[in-house]
Amino acid sequence: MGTGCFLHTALLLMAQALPQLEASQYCGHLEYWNPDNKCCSSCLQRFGPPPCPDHEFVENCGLNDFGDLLTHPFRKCPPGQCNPDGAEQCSPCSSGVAASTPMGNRGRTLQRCKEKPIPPKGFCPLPSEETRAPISPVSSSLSWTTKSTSTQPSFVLISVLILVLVLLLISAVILLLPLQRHCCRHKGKTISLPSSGLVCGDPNTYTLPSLHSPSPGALEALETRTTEKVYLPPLLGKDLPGLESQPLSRLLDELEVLEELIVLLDPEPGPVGCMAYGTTRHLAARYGLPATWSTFAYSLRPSRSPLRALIEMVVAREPSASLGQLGAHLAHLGRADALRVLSKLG
Amino acid sequence: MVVLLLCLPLLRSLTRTMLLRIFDSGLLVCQSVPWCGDRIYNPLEQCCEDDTILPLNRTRLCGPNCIYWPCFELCCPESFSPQKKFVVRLKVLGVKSQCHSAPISRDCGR
Repeated sequence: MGTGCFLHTALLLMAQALPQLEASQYCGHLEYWNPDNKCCSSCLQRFGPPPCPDHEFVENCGLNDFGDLLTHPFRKCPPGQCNPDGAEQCSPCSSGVAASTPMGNRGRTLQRCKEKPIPPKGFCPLPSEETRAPISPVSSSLSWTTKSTSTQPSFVLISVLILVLVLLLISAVILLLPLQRHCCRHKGKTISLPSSGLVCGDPNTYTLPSLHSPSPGALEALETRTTEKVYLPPLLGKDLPGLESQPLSRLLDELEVLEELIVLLDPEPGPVGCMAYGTTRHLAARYGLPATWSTFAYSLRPSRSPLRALIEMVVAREPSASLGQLGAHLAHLGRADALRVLSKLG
Repeated sequence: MVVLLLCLPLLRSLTRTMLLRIFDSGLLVCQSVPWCGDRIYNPLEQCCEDDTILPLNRTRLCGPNCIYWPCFELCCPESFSPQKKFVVRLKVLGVKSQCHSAPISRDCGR
């Protein structure tokens, strides 16, 4: 009795120490307060229906009146209640009648936000013979993660896709090489290739096409639709072609090389105490990311590397991105030291 | 008559402004602006999240222990995993980011 009482008290104290989700002062049970628009939005319109059977929305779908997501939006039905149809709330299993929505607006004027279409039901990761949720992509930007078992087939698919892309890149390089040699026979002319920027003529000269269309706000570090020649040390000029066929995602696996690049590229100001060239910020601009994103990425330091975030972003956005493109950008930024590190992967 | 006399300076300045706008082509450059719901916003200072215009530096809680940037990250609660944790993921610019495909920024734990 005494131990139980002690435990109960301890649990209560611990619960009070954590941020508590209190019911909204402005909105009903199945709505949440939007503090910026000053209106109540529907949980269903934000998260879609519960993806798994026998689950329902928690109070205000886990959001407090400041917009913080403090608890998970869904919970399992209480004992004796079911929700096989993906309704917002569970209902007694025997009756099959939907439970009535608890009283909402707490006596205040309820201003509702603009209606939005309800996202489709997401994928339910729970393994259950009762699960009949359709496997469909969720359109909402706040859909739920899937269990690791369901990601295994997609991981295999991604691996196959990457392999196919690598093979295509190799084939493209093999096919384009004779064409380039043919063009180089014309005197004094270099040709810029959109995807590789291979050397033509003087092996120490690296012709850089515009590899990426810049986004607004990134123009200060980019020279669009022009080509430049950057002198490279002979070692780096030879190693770069070896990187062309390798996906950028490889860099995320080569942790030692990545760490070295982080040490070289993340610190600000750039080399020689100058902000003009050569940091991750400028690399992000070359990849077409706005300066605002770089500001955000640098705010994550020291717990998170901006360069790692950049590489992950580029890989997610463009799976076909190659180490060769990264090398081209580093060369254009004048970071021969980083190129030397990257060439270890060649 | 008095009203007309009082309004003359205003009319004069308005006319001047209109003339400037007509003849100074530099002021007539139009750019497409992004919309958030039924309002426009400045992408250099704001973002659109859930039909809500937020400043870029807005932060919110993701779970009880994590702070995330809703303009650049997703708060992904893993309601159906045994751990019931929160994971912050990077929004991939230019695409509609989703929790199941976005790269992980950090694990918030429970």
